Amino acid sequence: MKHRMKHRIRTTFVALALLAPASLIAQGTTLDRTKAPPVGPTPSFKAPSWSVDTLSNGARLVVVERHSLPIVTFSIHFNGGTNQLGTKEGVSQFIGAMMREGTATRTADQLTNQLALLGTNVSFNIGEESGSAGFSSLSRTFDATLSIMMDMMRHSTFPAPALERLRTQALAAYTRGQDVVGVVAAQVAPKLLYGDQPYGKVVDAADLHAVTRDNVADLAQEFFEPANATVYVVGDMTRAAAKAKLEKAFASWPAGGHKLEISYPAAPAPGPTTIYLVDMPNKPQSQIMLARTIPPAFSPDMAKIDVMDAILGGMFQSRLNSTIREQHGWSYGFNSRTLWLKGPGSERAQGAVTREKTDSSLMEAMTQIRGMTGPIPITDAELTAARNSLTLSLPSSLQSNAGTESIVSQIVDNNLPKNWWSDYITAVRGTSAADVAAMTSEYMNPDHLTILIVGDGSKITAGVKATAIAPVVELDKTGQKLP
Amino acid sequence: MKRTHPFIPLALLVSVVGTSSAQQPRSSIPRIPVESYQLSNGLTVLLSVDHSAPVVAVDVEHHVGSKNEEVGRTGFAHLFEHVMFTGSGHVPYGMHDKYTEGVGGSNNGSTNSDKTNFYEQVPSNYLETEIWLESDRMGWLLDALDLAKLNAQRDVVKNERRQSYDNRPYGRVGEIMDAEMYPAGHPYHWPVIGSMADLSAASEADVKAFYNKWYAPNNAVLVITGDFDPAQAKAWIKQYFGPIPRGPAITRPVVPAAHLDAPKRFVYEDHVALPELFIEWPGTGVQSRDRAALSVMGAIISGDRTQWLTKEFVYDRKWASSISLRPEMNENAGTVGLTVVPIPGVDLTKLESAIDSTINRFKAQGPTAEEMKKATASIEYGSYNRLQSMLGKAVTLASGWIYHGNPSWYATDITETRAVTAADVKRVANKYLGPNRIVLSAVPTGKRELASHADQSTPITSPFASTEEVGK
Repeated sequence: MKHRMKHRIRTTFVALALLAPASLIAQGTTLDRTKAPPVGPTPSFKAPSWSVDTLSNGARLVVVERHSLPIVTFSIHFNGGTNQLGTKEGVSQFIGAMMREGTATRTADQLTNQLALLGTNVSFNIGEESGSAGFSSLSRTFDATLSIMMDMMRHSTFPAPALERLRTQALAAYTRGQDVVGVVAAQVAPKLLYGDQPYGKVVDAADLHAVTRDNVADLAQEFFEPANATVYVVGDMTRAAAKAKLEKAFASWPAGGHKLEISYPAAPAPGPTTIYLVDMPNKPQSQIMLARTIPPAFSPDMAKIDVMDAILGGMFQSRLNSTIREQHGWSYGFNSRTLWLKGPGSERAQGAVTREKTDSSLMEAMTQIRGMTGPIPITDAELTAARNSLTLSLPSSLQSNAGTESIVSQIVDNNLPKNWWSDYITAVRGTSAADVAAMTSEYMNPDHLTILIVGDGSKITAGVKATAIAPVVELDKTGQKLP
Repeated sequence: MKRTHPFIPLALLVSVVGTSSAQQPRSSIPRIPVESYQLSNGLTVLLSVDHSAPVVAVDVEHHVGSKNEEVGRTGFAHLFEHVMFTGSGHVPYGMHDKYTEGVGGSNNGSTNSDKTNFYEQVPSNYLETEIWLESDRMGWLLDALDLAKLNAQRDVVKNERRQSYDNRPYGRVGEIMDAEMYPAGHPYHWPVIGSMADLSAASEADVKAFYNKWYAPNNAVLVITGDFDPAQAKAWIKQYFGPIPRGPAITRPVVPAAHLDAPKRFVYEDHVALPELFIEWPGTGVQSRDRAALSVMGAIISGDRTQWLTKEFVYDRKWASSISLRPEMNENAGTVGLTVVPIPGVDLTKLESAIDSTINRFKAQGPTAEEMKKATASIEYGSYNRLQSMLGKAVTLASGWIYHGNPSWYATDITETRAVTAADVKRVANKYLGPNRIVLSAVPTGKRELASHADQSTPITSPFASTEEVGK
């Protein structure tokens, strides 16, 4: 591959572009291959429309009708997550698997076979800030699939032996992860960024050992309640049909739970730039991460931060990737990503670099970050590419029910104004070079960064110290300071 | 604008779908509309219109991969793929990203042992732009060959090797297995990523020779899928690709089948915390008549909690976190590979022996009708899912053309999969899961005693890894 696929976990970013193409070229003229061909009109934007109803059990119902294909995507979103509930660490990661272990009337094998023959799968998930339950099915198998899903949600038995099996597997996976520089970096970073906040907690082996079967059953019972639920039906089903089917299916899911009053902590104030170093002997590459916390999603600076991220490391042609990878060849890819949360999110630039070029890569990354604050001015070409890549990034999401759902739910789940997407697109397109410099100074300030390096300490420590970028603090793999 | 009926994806037509009546008739296989023709220079063109979203995908595939490399130049086909992004005669470096990512689209390329492709997905008003970009690197790459950029990409690829093979636990197992399955000189003996030493040795002259030999239009297929006007597209294709000269006739290498005269057993020490067990049998390529039956076998013998190996080792005995047995089929030859991730403390010798018992039971009994139904449904479902995106459709059509001379080969595949019987599956299990195989235990450094049958296991390392370090 030219580059690995970027795994962007933005809160559902898609732009809506619908257009009529049909640009014609003048036939018979001599072809000038040095010039890019002319293109048709710029896409215009159109968001899908949706309806909102309240069901008898108190859950909200959102329907987006799309009748071109006989497929329906069904999803219940639950507001609030383990950070807000104060759930014991590690419990939520067993929810999805434990709910496939059988119900009062179906064995685990029966669940597996029945869903396989319906050609679908039901998933349950509880995260730090929210959770969901859902499936995708044919319109004509919707009732059968929903019936199984409700059985799993309401009547799972959470057998204790299954938890023991899953715990053993989770512990083995945790142990295996300790051999991977990127995994170790990902588990140390939250502690450095968030300190003692719930957002700084990372599940460790002791947490996995401490989870009980009752913890999992209790969390499921507490969590999957209508009070905090919004139900999305997207696809080949009318609003009336969806409402009728759900009232029937939810007869066994009465009103319950209490509406969560959620407040999110502010991001901790960043200290002066510090380099944290974790030793993993014999690694031919080092993982370098430069990170900062950022404000919650939908803050006024959101669009500007996204443009900054695209230019810094979000795009293939971004500054970090075009220097560290394309110009120097020190890495297979050095990228950045904005992780938007309802609480404090983070901006993280990172990559795996040749061990012998750890110090050089770090210096280049710092040069590029500092450059974005003013010394290396943002060009019009960079701004255009960043704005386009954020806003024209494909109507392809609107091709699918799941993509459509993510666009609509972003607005409904977060109580945003109906025209939020067009406002966002306007804000991205209005972001200036000065804005990008200001965002970098504010949110990726080179004097207030958390820098984490995981690699072969005996080979890289002296070089990293010699850069004199910041003091070096050595940590173990759990993020504890070494004596 | 004319609207065509969009191709209906998903497992809409998978026969078993239904509530309780399992008696539904098999439905017809969905057909993707495709128009195919050749330019006079030999370039094959495949067009498939779908106006369901204002997006087009462009995929250019060359019938060349790592199997076409010269000895001493392993990894070159993939390195060359990177060179194709460094600019061409009329297109400076950076334009491919400017006119894909920079207009809200995406691009990438990939190389395997048999073929190499380059693809873009963009808003449909950029179709001519992509045709311009692709034609220029097919026709005029050498006019702008930049040694500094070649060298930078050489280093990028070495980092790709470090990241995906050397720095990843168990990352070298695949190349060790292939080197033992296929003898030296066999075109599948070496990994696509190549060796560090060979990557260092690749020269400007190699780039020119490889390009002239393999990147001619008569060894390529151009696929366009999505929202476009075919008449307009054909005019552009003729205008941009037409002037590229035909290259010399292509001679493809002779690729013998995978074969072992006797079992082999190895222990591989790696920087890992826990041991894993790998078994590989000689298999067959995608053109084999056993292909469909082997795929069905793979979809039955491991997978969900009801399936043979998974049920026995993950759920009943609880000796493994996961286990999978799958055919790996290249164009001309292939293998069947088993990977098991044991629970810490489980003895690999005991594990291997129990796995063999389960496989022998499968070979004796064969699958049930219910298992056959589930497996063919899941394979069919997977085929339809791949056809949902414009890009997935383009790659499916191109692969059908390259490997089978038939863009609509996915439909043949589904027909053949549906025709597989339980007796077929039992037959291929007995034919391919025999005693001549490679067993490899990957163990933490210094813990050779953890290997399965440690006393009979020969220590092995990757012949392609290198301790080479980058000078300061």
